[in-house]
Amino acid sequence: MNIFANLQQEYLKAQRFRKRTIQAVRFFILICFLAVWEITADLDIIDSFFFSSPSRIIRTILQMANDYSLFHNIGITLLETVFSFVLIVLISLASAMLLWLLPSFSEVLEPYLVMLNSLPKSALAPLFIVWLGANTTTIIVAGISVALFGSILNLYQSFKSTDEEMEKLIYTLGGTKWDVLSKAILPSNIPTILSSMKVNIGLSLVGVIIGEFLAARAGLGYLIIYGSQVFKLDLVIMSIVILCFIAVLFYGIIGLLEKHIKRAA
Amino acid sequence: MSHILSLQNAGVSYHSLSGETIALQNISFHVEEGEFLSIVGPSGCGKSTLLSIIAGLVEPEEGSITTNGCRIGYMLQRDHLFEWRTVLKNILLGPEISHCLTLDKRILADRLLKQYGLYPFKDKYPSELSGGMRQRAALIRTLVMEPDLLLLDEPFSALDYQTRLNVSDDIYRIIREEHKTAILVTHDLSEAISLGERIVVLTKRPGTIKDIITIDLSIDNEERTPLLSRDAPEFKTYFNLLWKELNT
Ligand SMILES: Nc1ncnc2c1ncn2[C@@H]1O[C@H](COP(=O)(O)OP(=O)(O)OP(=O)(O)O)[C@@H](O)[C@H]1O
Ligand SMILES: [Mg+2]
Repeated sequence: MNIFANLQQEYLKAQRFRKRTIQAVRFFILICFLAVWEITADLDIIDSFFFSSPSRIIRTILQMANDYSLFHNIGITLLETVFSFVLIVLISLASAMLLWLLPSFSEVLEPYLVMLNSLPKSALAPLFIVWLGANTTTIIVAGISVALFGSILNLYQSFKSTDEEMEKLIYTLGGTKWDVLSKAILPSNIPTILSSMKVNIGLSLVGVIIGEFLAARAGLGYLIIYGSQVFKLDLVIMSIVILCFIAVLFYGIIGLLEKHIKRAA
Repeated sequence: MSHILSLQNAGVSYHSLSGETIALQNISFHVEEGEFLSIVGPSGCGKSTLLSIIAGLVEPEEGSITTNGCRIGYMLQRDHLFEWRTVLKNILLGPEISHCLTLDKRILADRLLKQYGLYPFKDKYPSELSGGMRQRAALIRTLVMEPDLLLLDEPFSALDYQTRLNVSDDIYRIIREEHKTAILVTHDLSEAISLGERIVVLTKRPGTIKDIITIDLSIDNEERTPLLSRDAPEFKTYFNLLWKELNT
């Protein structure tokens, strides 16, 4: 007994050590990257006008934080992204459920969905501007359009491939098609729904940035376009760095949600 | 005794673009109240289809099925306990679906869980149960609907031999105690003889009735259990008879 307990302790210790080492190496890579970037820029090995440098980025951030314009722009992009993400999730869930409930209807629609899904959505953005005006609506629609069709197809496919015997079980208990959906298909597809959310949050960020390139007066996408036009590349690169953080943040939040749901289940 | 179920010349076929599969043809038999009927037949002969038409999930294309209005419970080939629901919630799935999740049902569920040794596991998830316990949970899920006629589709096929003997004893006892009528589909001949009072033998596809054998063992009917039946002197005779029926 004691021996096994010791072995278990040792195993846990080794695992903790491994985890810490991995984190340390990750951090080390980041530091190296930043250091090399800063040093080469200071020594004029790379031209900091084009490539900026960590210190210039921090200076830009502090400057913009002073007059709150940084928070304003980040906030706008965040809001637009969250808004289009929520809409994507709701619309694609509802559509996939509808398609599953009406198989003939979905068979009719399938080629259209596939076509819409493979269409490069950035091609649509100029149209949205003409139709909806250069405003937030356009940006959110652009955000939605990037992920929506793929998400519908993905969810519908996964609903369809749920074990047919599960469906039969619900019928033997006197259930209806709606019961099959709500009691068997939806709960058994929660992992798929979560993984599609992970993809969608990234894609809606992409869509929102495309929208902001074309139609915004604020937001990180707008800062990138504006910065490149007036050759303030510090601004551009700072925005990109912030986008990196936002992407990681969103991904982390969905990861937490996933953990929470797994524990609740 | 009255007939709880009778089939007259029932036939079913499945249609697809590549052709028609006749699954069942000319099936006629009846089941009496309180009877335990076994159905045996080669793989793919339409045994599951037969249960599906009795349960009303598939319409027979020919012939007819009449019941005396009894409630039917169907236990599928696999347990299909939902992994995201606790044992208790799995068992209450039927009442939940038919919107009759009353206090009575909860009390019945608790009684069945206690009686059949699953009460300590009621808040566990199916993945924490053994194969035999899962099978009992699936049976209780069917029993909570208070069916008069139970359809069992190879309920023991996923279990290893030892568990299988025990669980079939368990389930037989449960069904007897609850005074249910039962139809058991199996391809295990010993199982069919040791549980059934009559055995319907089906032919290869398209399934038709080859024979109906009445099992008469020299054991007191009150004390009969599947394990005891296996020791009855007539057991071997019936086994050989069935074996011949299925292999000629
Ligand atoms: N949904 C379906 N569509 C088309 N053909 C089917 C369908 N279900 C069953 N069949 C065919 O009907 C025949 C009978 O099937 P069934 O499942 O009733 O057989 P079974 O006796 O239960 O077989 P097993 O012993 O393997 O469980 C099989 O040949 C099968 O291929
Ligand atoms: Mg079968």
